Amino acid sequence: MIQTAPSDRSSAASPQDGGAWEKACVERAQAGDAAAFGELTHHYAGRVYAILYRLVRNREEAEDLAQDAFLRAYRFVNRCDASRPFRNWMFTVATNVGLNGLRSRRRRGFPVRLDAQDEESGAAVELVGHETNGRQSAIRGELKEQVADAVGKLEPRAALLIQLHYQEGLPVREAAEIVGIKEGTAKVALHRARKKLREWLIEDDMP
Amino acid sequence: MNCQQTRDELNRKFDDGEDLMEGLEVHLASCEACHTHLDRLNVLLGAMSDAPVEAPSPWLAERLRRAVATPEPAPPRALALASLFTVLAALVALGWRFPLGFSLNESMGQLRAWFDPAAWQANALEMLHYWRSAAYIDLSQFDLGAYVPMANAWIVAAPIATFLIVFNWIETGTPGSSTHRSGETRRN
Repeated sequence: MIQTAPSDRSSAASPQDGGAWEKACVERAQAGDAAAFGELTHHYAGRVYAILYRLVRNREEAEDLAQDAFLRAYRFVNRCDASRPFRNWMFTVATNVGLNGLRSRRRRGFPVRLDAQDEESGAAVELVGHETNGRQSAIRGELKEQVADAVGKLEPRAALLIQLHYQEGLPVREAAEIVGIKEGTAKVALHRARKKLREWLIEDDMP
Repeated sequence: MNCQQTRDELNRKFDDGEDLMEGLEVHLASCEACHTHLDRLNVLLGAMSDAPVEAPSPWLAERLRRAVATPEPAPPRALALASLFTVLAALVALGWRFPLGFSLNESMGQLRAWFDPAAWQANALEMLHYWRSAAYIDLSQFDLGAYVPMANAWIVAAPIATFLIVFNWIETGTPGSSTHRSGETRRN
């Protein structure tokens, strides 16, 4: 059921020259070329969806929010500084749209988990070390889903920081900027998140 | 450093996002149990970098690309509906202020008078007087006519208030708005 979202990182293929391609697309979009922004949209769809899914944890809602985020980004594309990475700006727009989505969901009376839910349910996993490579990769495959579930039990902003820092590979400072919090606050949130994940997922069998 | 201290230190480094091995190489090289704990932390770290999310629809990227490529996107539904209600509210307010039915001339006369700056000034003074004395009004003597001087203000305020209320209501509450088509979170 749970699969990896299509990552466009590997498909930096069409835009193999990365930054230059992105910059050209942004400049064309700012000149009114909708197709250029469409290319950016196609390139970032999976990653923006993943960010929004971390926040709302619902596929349909994350897809709708992704559409809103791209439409909003297109509407305000002139505010994007083409000399800076489009990725960070797009992620910031998506994060704002996602957080607004969470707020409106709360106003509509749907529960939003602001704290980690049911900490006891995070079943400990036996992460065996010193195994053969095949065995370890099988364990890693199962573990990915268990970690995904555990990340889903974190507070939404913490889950988003995990996504930005570990999966997108952004420095904590940039991840904090995208989420709209101070770097120190992001570090504390990441510390707590790692601690929870460790406590939930690793059994300490120290005699 | 004994095993318990080593594991505590490994856990602390993991929580703080530090290099796990640094400073513990000697003990880890000689202690299989602690090395196993280190391996577990590394596996978890690797999984955090690759934890999947529920796969989106296969046509998501295309759907988004088409959405932004649409040349003239329709105005947001909330804005359109709020504007419609605003016009209706303005018509109701104007109809109340300038009731039709007597004669067109009379109504047009009232309309012209409404745009007279002197009338606005007089109304503003009346409103100030009314608000200043409102605290002394005996509610048992309530008379709708006392509110008539405020009519001009209502004509302006009613559409603005209607717009804000309807727009906010649709944006945040109505199922079917573009932003919130989905319902409650369903985790699998």
